[in-house]
Order: sequence, then structure tokens, then C-alpha cells
Amino acid sequence: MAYTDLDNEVVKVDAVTFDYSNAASPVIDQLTLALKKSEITFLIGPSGSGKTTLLKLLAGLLEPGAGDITIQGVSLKRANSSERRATLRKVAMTFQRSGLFDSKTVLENLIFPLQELNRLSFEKALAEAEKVLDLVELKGHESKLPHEVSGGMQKRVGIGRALALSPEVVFYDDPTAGLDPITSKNIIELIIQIQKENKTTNLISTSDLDLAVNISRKIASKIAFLFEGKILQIGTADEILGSINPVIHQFTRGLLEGPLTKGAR
Amino acid sequence: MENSRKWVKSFGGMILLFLQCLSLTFKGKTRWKEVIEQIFQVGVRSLGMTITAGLFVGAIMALQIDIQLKDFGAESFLGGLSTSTTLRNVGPVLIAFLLSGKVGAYTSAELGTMEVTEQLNAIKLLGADPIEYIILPRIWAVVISSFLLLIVGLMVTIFGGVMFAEVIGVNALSYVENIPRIVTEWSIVLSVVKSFVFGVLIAVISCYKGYSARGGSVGVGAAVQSCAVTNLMFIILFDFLLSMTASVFQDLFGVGYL
Repeated sequence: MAYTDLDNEVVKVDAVTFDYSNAASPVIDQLTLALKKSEITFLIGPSGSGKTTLLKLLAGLLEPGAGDITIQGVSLKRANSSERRATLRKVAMTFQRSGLFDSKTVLENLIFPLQELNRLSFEKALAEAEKVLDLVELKGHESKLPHEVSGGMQKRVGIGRALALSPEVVFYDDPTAGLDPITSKNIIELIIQIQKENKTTNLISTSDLDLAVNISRKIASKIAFLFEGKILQIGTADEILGSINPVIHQFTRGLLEGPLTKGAR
Repeated sequence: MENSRKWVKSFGGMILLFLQCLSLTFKGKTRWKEVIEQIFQVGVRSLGMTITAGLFVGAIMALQIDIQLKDFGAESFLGGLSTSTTLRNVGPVLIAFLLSGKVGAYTSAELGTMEVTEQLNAIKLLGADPIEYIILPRIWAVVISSFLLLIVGLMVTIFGGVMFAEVIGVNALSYVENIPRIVTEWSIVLSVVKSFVFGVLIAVISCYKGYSARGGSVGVGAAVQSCAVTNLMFIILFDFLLSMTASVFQDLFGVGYL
């Protein structure tokens, strides 16, 4: 079992269950997971398996119906509101659709958290935002509105804004969704570079198996496979590819017949 | 049953949002720079429409009341009756309807889009309160804009009535001279109170409907539709309640013709 070093577990998900009010079955079902300090873990699974919901639970945007989430030793369930707020300040998340403020320019999107939440003066916030702009390679695009830049650039701005407050844990929700393979690879390379520099703990959800496998092999990270709100398996890229679980087998082979497509046709 | 449950939840949500915004305002959390920007976005851009509509509302009222007064040979009362009816009821309601279409739909669509594109979640994630940062400035901007536009609209409706009186053969001067014979300061107070209440209704309903939108573009469409219907319903309901209250005041305290 990979996660035995309890002191090293920055994020711990303990038997968490969550369902939306109109759902027939729980979106997240008794899920248990641990993320180790300064590691990148990929979260893969078919559409609708609960990846975004899990990330929102981890980021404190949704409340679990049962179970508990612990971040850096602080239980989100038991913490009082100021402890909870302080803990979640160390967490950042990027969204599938970037979640950029569409009435603000690229630079203003980066300045917003620094000025409004870190209470920096405009000059200091601007200086910090320019450093982030450099990091995400968006110099020259600072005065553009989000809809005036490409999808890949929007993802970069989203990543930059998430990193502006120097988080210790970052959740990336499908950061390569809708991007071409080269841009996707660039985005993931950027995430890895940032992780190396800042030593953040990362969970990256993606539906792109090839990308997750290639990067996972390159940096020796783990892949967790999520299906129907449960982690079916967690392991190296080769362990996932060689899995005998019928769901994972069908997903990794791209087979049309199997439990994933049962009843779909 | 399900619809009743949804309605109660929605009504409760609107009241809670209103109370939360009041509490934040008293704590001095209103971002007035943002409020002014929003007033320009939603208010100033609705001025032309309000003036045009106001002119025609005034003209329509003058025309309709003139037709009825002619049967009694009482055209000399046109100025007073037309202005009184416009101020007390028709003006605030019609202009509030227009504003709920323009300002309300804009606000609910904007907030709904922010919700479904995760912009509000991004604010929460950055440790901020979207109600303080996004909703509160819009609530105040819509309240102030709607109130000012309604007042401007009402003044224009009176002007529209005067202008149209000439067209239908009533002397404009006698029309104006007749106004104070029927319209009292209480008519104006009622009109101002209605304008303020309608402004608050449009602001709270539009912000709540946008903020509670879920489910992509379909959810935004449903939020805007629900916002339009709820605004119209509440404007009519509150018009009735305020008119009734005014009538009771008149009976109890003899505060003059309302």
C-alpha cells in the first residue's frame, strides 16, 4: 500500500459520501484517499464518475453528507469556522472552465486575490501579479479580457490566479479539457514545473488517460481510478494499465463492450 | 407539492439574501466604487428606455381618462385625475415592469452566468464571500438605479400627459393648473414609497434568481425566466398591498386624498 506514512499525508479523505438532492445514488460513495506531501496524484475516470465533485469537496466548496476530510491534520468537519477558513486558505483549485472573472482583464484576475484577500497595496499586488504572469508565461496578454485569449491561456490564467496566494495544496479540475495535445502537454509541464518550485501537493483530475499515464511514468506519480464515486484502484501507471478490474480494463483499452457501456446502447 | 416546496424555498432564500445584504451594509461592507460602476451598467443605460416609455404612459393615461371624462363633460379634471392615477398606480407599476425586464433580466443573467461558469465558486475558493463581493454591490446598484429611474419615469409621464393634452384639444395650462386640485403631497409620498419598494423587489429577486441558477445555459435561461415572472408577480402584489395600506391610512388618519 502506497500511503502508509501517516505524517506525510497532507490530505486525507475518510469514508466520504456525498449526494446532490435530486440524485438517485451518491455521487461520492464511502470514498477513502490520501495525498502525500509534495506529490502529484492523477485522478482519472469516465465522465460522471464524480471527479469534479470530489475536488469540490476537498476544496471545501461542498459539504460531505458523511465522513471527514482532513487537510494538514485539520478536520474540516470538526474545525471551527476560523480554523476551517485558515486551513482552506492553504488550498487552491482550478476549474474545468477556468472560472475567470470575465469582466476583469488577465492582470486584474491575478491582482484580485492579492489585493482583496491578502490586503496588499495596489503596487505590491501588481508586482506579485507580474511575477505570476511571468511564471505562467502570459506577459503581453495582461490587458486582455478572458474571452480575448485562447483556451490554453485561460487555463494558464486560472492556474496563475490559484497560485497567486501561494497555496500548499492545489486541485486541478481537468486542466487540459478541450485543449489540443500540445497545449495540454504544455499545461501539465507548467503544473509540474510549479510543483517542483513550490513543493505543492497536487491532485489533477483528467479524462485524458494517455496524458496521465505518460506524465505519471515520467515523474513517478500515482494514478487513482474513480468510478461511481469510489476509488477502484490507486497505483503506478503500469499498475493501472495492467489492472484486471473490468471497469479499469475497459477504460484503459477503450473497449466498446463492458461494464462502463452496459445499458448505454 | 413539489412546486409549493420550491416556491417556499425560493421565497425564504430571497428574504435571507435581503437580510444578509442589510447586515453587511450595516457592517460597512458595501463596496461603493463597485456600486457606482454597476449603476452605470444597469441604470444609466436604461435611461433612454425609461424616458421613452414614460412619455407614452403619460400620453396613454391622458387619452384614456379624457375619453371617459367627456361622457360627463368633466374634461377640466383631466390634469388632476390623469396625474393622480399615473403617480399612484399606473406609472410606478408600468415603469417597474419595464425595469424588471431590462435591469432584472440583465442582473439575473449576469449572476447566473457567473454561477454556472464557476466564477462565484472561484471567489469562495479565494476565501471571499460572493455575497459581499458580487451580490451586495449589485443589490444596491439596482435599488438606487431602479428608484432613480422610476422617479425620472414618473416625472416624464406627467410631462407626457401635459404634451398629449394639447394634442387632444385640452389646454396645457389648464391641465397643469388642475393637477394640485386632485394630486396631494400624499400621492407623491405613495409614489416615492412604491418606487423604492419596487426597486428593492427587482434588486433582491433578480440577484437571488441569478445567484441560485444551476445547470449550465439551461439553468441560466430558467433563472432569467423565473426572475421575470417573480418580479411581475411581486410588483403587482406589493402594488396592491401598498395601495391598501395607503387607503387604510387615509381612512384612519384622514391624511388627505391619496
